[in-house]
Amino acid sequence: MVGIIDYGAGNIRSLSNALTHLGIEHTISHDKNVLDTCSHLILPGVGSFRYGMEQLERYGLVEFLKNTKKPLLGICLGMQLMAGQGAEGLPSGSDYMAGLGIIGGTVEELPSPHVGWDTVQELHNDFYFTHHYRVAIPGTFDWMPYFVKHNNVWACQFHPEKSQESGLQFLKDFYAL
Amino acid sequence: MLCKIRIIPVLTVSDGKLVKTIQFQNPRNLNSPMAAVRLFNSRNVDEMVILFIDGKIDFELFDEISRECFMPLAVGGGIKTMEDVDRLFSLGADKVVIRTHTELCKPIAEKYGEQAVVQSLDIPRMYDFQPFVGEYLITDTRLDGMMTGYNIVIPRSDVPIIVNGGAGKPEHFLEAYNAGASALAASSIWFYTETTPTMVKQYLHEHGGTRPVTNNNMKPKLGSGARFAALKKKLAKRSGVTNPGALAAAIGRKKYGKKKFAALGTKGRKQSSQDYAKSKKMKMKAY
Repeated sequence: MVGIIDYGAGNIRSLSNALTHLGIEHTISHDKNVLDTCSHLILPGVGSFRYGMEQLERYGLVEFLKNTKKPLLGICLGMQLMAGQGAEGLPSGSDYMAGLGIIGGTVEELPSPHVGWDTVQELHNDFYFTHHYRVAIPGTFDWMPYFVKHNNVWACQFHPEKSQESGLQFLKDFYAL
Repeated sequence: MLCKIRIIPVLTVSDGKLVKTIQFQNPRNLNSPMAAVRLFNSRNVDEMVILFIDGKIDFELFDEISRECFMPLAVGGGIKTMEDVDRLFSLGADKVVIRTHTELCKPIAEKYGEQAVVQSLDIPRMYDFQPFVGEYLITDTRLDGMMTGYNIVIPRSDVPIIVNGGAGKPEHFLEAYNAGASALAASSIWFYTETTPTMVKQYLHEHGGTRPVTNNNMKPKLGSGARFAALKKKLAKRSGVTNPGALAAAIGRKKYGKKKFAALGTKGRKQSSQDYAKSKKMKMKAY
């Protein structure tokens, strides 16, 4: 059973459609007790960093996500929330806001929105991207991670649920963890 | 930054039926929208635009479409309030196309991000490019449904531009691609000819679009002014920085030396004034 974390900032519907199409059982919830019974967790997301973090705090999910040992997949904003810090949605000039700090890095604005299909070298496949912010790893100025794998955590900047065949295969691979 | 070129089918829906207009007039009934959607989904299309041209959003139809599609969906036509937008996103839309109610661009960008807002502009009548927009969908009303080729006068912009209206052969896509479009939208060609999006992509690939496609490379060209602007923007967000321009200049002088930095600055200013003049000229031409 896959638990989709519903924190009010996500393209949950399309993700749920994709999982249904793949025949993967899933539940949508923001209740810790329900999510605890799932074997896999997915943190989707569309929206700003600030809104996302505030919503996670509101549902008391921050500590839960930091400490979970289950396979966890962060998609788009979900990936960015896993970073160390970010400033999207905050008034300009204010300090960074802390993220979940699972994969590290800082969420920064791109010079222009990155929308469209790009090849993800690590996965040898094309995926659909649509974002205006990225996770920046300190010391690498012009490189943006599209896909990060760290222990039980997978984080992807692209939208597997919108990437046709390659995306569905990606979700299948995650479920096989 | 550039991505791979996207080929986007546009489905125009009126009163629950799939229709096709010529120069925005005389809607002609085609098959059912769901049949077309299934076809495009099986052909692994990059993205799809659905426009309710009668100005009434058919939420039920869109719900059905989003259940069967695993591709990005942009919806437009008849979006009047933020409630419409919220409902479309909850049904699985990825972008909304705004044409008349441009005052919605800002609230949508704040809630869902700029990449979720597409502004539709009908040239030659409309030219009011809005801020807080992730993409511009530019349709030439004179060429809609004519299948005689795109209007390849494409305004310069940092924001990706989708051109629409006029595609009738794979060659037309190549022309617009070389002219600088980020994405190519079309509709008649899929319904009235045997061309498929895959064939167009294959054609573009074989005839090697002259524009480079870069990956993971976000550094703008040195001396274009874009890097300086990006740094300035970044510094402005830091607390305690009162004059981001001066700080950025100081960093630049330290990095490249005083002399080289001054030369780069001159080059950048020259470039941007040229770009500006060019864009002005292009706009005039388009009229």
